[in-house]
Amino acid sequence: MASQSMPESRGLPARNDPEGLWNPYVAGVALGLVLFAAFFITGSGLGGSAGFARLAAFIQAAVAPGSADTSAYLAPMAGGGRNPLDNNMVWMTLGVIAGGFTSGWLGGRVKVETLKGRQIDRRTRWAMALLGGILMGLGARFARGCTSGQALSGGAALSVGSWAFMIMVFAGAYMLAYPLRKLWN
Amino acid sequence: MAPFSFSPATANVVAALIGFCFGFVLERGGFGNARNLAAQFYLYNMRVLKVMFTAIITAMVLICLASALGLLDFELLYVPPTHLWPGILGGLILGVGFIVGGYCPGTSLVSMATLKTDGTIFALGVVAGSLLFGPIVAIPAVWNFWNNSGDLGRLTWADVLGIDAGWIVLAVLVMAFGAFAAAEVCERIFSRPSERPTALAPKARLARRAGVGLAIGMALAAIAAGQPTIDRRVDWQRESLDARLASRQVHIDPGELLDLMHNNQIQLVLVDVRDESDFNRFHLADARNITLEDLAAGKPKEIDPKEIFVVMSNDEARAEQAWKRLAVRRGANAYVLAGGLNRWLDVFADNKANLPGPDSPVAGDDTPRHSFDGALGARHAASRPSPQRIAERPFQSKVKILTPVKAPGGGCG
Repeated sequence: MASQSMPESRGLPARNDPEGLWNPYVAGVALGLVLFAAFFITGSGLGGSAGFARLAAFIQAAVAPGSADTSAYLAPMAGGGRNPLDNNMVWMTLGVIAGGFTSGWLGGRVKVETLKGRQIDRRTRWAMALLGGILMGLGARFARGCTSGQALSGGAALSVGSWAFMIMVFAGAYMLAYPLRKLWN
Repeated sequence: MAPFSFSPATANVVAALIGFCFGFVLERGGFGNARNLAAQFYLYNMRVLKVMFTAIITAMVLICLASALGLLDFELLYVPPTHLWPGILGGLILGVGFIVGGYCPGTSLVSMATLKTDGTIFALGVVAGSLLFGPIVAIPAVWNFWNNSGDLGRLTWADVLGIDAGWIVLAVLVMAFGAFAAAEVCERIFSRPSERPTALAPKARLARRAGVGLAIGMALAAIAAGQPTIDRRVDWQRESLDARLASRQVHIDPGELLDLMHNNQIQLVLVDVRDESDFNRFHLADARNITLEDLAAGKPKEIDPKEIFVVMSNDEARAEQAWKRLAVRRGANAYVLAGGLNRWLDVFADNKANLPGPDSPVAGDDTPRHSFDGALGARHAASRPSPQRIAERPFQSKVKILTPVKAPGGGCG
């Protein structure tokens, strides 16, 4: 191993990644315009985790009817016979899926595959994706929003809590980036 | 003036369209691929930072400028409320989830939409995590932490620093451009020689300069125009405010006010805008003496949507001016005492019958018509008439008692 020279490419895409993606600053301006349009037209920004929270509330209410009425957390979404999916954030979630599919389809990026680093197998990647998703679901509920609703939307509106949140997201990820480098590189 | 309100069905369509653009741009930006996202944390591909911060500053500058020009009412925007400690803990958990799983909720949707197995599994994990939060937050100590720890409400940097939002926008722009420059350097240092970024084409260099210049220029324009004061907002909304006053839908009868004063289920705020000398001679129990200038300067500082404001002067003219300054505030539920304190005293001190109802305006010159033996303040019998007297003035209730449903934490829904 020691005699091997450093590999020329790594597990993760280099900066000049030829995938037909937009330049990051161009994509950023486009995303900023969508975010501004959301604020300007509807008065609130974008949301990524609200749809998940409502789907979870829907499942909870379906599996254990009546449980939502006694939960102070679920009652506003699913209590008193409310349908937690009857909310415009659910529609935004559906829109995100449709928009993501359209862009990927036009760019030839729709295909069944598992995206992972080179040093782990697919099963490990799947397990890590599940674990990461669970943490993300929990964290987003604790923070009352995720990278979309808090970091992007609250950040653009100069919300103090959103900026604190954003710094912590980067802090949490950088903290574990080195110990977990085998997952990705 | 934006933002606009829609019927529920239209709001769903609008949300779906915005979501479509959101998903499209995320995918085009490379955010449907966990490998692009994770690369951020190994310093040789700072795409995530660039896209996110460019998006934030683009929207931030546009919001600030639109607000300064009176195109967008910032007071009506949903700014995620600051729950400092749950936000910090949640952010940390989220960051860990990010490096472990490679996505965040929004990007996992895009990944799932392009059929990535890992993204789909991640999305299922988010649903599971959201489900798990229910029983966890049901623990009283966690519930208390989640709701009350560092609960600072709607709080922006402009509120904290007490300066015009334009200056903060300018400072954030400078910080962001610095971060971009640092990101470029980082990529150069941590790249393999073969992957080292090439020099920027002249066209791209020009576009970069133009973008930076445009953003700084817009921030300076926003600073020059200034964020709207209360009086400027009154001016912008003059037509609709005057229409509401003319319709008399916000003028409440003395009888209704007395009923509210004896209702211990509500938070009533009595705002007396007369001179201090008039106020000292006679005022209602628990009334606060706030001048028009104080109202224009943003007093009271916090307005709770659960509070019911009733503004009064001797007649109505000054109270109506004060009402406008309250009505443009976010979440304000404000009313005018019809006929002012002159009519109030006619009813409850002089016991006059056949007085006009709340829908007939008074033309008085806003001077007191009653005299008192010295400065009685709230020690007069009519400062707080007994509840038995409510029956003397039958009224049609106009006050809307709001019980705001607290948004069940999340996204920006």
